[in-house]
Amino acid sequence: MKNSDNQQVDQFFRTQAEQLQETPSRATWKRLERRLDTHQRRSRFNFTPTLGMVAAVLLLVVFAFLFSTLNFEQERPIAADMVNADVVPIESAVDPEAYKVVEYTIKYRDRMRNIIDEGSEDTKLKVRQP
Amino acid sequence: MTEKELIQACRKQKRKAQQKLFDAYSPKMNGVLMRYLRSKEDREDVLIEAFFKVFDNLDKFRGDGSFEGWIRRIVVNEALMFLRKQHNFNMTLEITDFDQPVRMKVVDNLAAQDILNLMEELPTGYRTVFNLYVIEGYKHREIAELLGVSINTSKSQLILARKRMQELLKKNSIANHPNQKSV
Repeated sequence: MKNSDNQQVDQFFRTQAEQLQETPSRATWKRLERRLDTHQRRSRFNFTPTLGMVAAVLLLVVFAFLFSTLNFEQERPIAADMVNADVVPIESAVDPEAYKVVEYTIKYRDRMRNIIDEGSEDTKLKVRQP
Repeated sequence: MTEKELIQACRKQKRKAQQKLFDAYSPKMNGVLMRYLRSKEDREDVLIEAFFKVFDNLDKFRGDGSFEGWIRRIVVNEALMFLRKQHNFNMTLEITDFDQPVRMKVVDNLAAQDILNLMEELPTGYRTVFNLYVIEGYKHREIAELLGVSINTSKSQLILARKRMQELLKKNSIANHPNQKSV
């Protein structure tokens, strides 16, 4: 009995509450529109970093390729080839600057091949004479 | 334009269609919010957030049930999220005797606005549970989940809300409706 009373009252409340309506102000839609615009712009920006990252990786690959090509050419100067080959070029046959480099490099390479002993208090390091 | 076509256009982010959908459903949804939130500014904030979610999640609406019902659930959820930030629903007296339901009587010439006025006089906890149980038709288990309270708290709040509502109705009917008639 008591429950059926409450059910009736609940039904009455439900019916009456359904009639409640209030049109929001025009400003409410304007605010919602701004919110939607901001969200759309952000969504577009979210896509941009992906493209940016792809572009950055591509640029990196291109730069790495160019850099390695340049280095490859620099690592093969004529003078260095001559040093490795233990061939001292005739001074007049090559560029005088390159000749000096070769001569200097060979000289110091040979010096570094010598064993260095631990020196005494007087001479901290000394090259062992062959 | 049918409802289906309107939804399709809104999914494509057509602003005119979104405005049309907002114009069609916002008065009723604002009416729902009037029962939960007293302040007009709060209602506006919640309405905007709820409709933003409606547009953002339109792809999730499969079209099986009522579109209005789907929007309404989002609006109610948004209102509850707002209320939970401001109100601790656990801070309510819990009663143990659930076998003494309150017998309510109501005058049949109460209008929707009178109902709203009465509900506005209920404390937030009572009003929210009353709304969810009586008007929206949620079960106590669901209300407990939605509000983050125990089932007993939900039951207690409803009983206390009915008690308070009955008192308010009595006061209201004596003041405004001398020819009280129960339904």
